[in-house]
Amino acid sequence: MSARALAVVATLLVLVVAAGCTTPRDFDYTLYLQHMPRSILVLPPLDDSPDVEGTYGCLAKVTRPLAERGYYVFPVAVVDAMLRENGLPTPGEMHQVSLKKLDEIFAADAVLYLTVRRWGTSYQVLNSATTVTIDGSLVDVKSGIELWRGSATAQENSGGGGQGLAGALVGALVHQVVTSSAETSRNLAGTANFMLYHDAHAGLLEGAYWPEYEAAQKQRRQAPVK
Amino acid sequence: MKRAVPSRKALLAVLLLAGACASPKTIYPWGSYEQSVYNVCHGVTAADLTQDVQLLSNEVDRTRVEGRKVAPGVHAHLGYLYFMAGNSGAALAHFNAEKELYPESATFIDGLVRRMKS
Repeated sequence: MSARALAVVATLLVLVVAAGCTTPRDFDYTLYLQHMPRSILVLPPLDDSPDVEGTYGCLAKVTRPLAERGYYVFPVAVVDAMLRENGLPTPGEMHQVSLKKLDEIFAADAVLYLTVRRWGTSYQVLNSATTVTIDGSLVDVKSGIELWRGSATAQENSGGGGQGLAGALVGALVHQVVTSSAETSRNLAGTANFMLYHDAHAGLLEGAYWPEYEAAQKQRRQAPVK
Repeated sequence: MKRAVPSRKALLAVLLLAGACASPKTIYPWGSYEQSVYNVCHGVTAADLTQDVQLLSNEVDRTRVEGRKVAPGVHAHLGYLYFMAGNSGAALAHFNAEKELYPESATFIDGLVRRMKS
C-alpha cells in the first residue's frame, strides 16, 4: 500500500472512531451555560418499572458519575432519610416539593429529577435481557428553568449461540436465577447513569470540579449557537 | 519519506481518539460509598452499620494519606452513619469536614446539625 493510500485509510479510521464515540447532534446548552450550576441535588428517582428496586438501585449509582462530571452532589442517602423523616415517604411526594422549599433546605444550584423507565430482566425462551433506562431533567433552582434533559439505556443479554437448544435454555435460566437480575440491574444502572451524564454531545456540561473546567467552559461558550 | 508523515499523524490521532473513548481517569476514590448508600436506603441493620462505618472511615483515612480529595457527600454520609450509631461527636466532626471541603453543602449541613442537636 502506498503512503498516500495509508494516509487515506488512517484518516477514514479517525472519522469512524470519532463517529463511534459521539452522537450526531449536540444538545442546545444555551440556558445551561447561563445558569451553570456547581451543586446538584438528586431526589430519589421515580420508578415507572414494575420492579420495586428501581428507585434505590438507581439512586445508589447516581453520585459517582455525577461527581466525576465535576459537580458537588448532595449525600443522596442522607437527603432521602431527611425527606422521609419530614413526612415525604415516597419519591412521588419528594418530586412535588417546591423549588423554593428545596432552596431553603439545601441551597443547591440545580435539582436532578430522574425517572427509571425500565428496570430488570425480561425472560424470553432462549435468552434473557436485562435493561435499565433512565430519564433525567436538570432544573435551575432559582429560576425554575430546565437546563438539560436526557435519557440513556444500558442492556445486557445472556444466552444464545452455539450450545444448542437445551444449553441455551439452561443458560437463560441460570443467568436469571444466579444473577437474579438485582445485581445486574444495579450495575447497568451505573452504566446508564454514566452514559447519561458523560456523553460528549448530549450529556451534562463539565462542572466546576472537572480538572480542566476553565478550558471546557471556554470551549463550550465558543461553540456556535444553533 | 515526506508522504509517510500525514499517515503517521493520522494514525496517532486514531490512537488518541480511541484512548479518549476508553476508560477516563477518576477524580475521586469511591470505595464502598455506593454500597453503603444502597444499604442505608434499604434500612441498614446494626451489623451493616458497624461494617459500613469501619469501611468508610478507613477509606477516608487512606484517601487523606494519599493526598487525594474525599468525594462529595462521603463525609456527610459517614457523619450520618455515626449519628445513627449513637456517636454524635464523630458525626459532628464529619459533618464539619464535608462543609469545609465543599462549602456548597453549608446550608444543608447546618440544618442537619441543628436537627441533630434538638
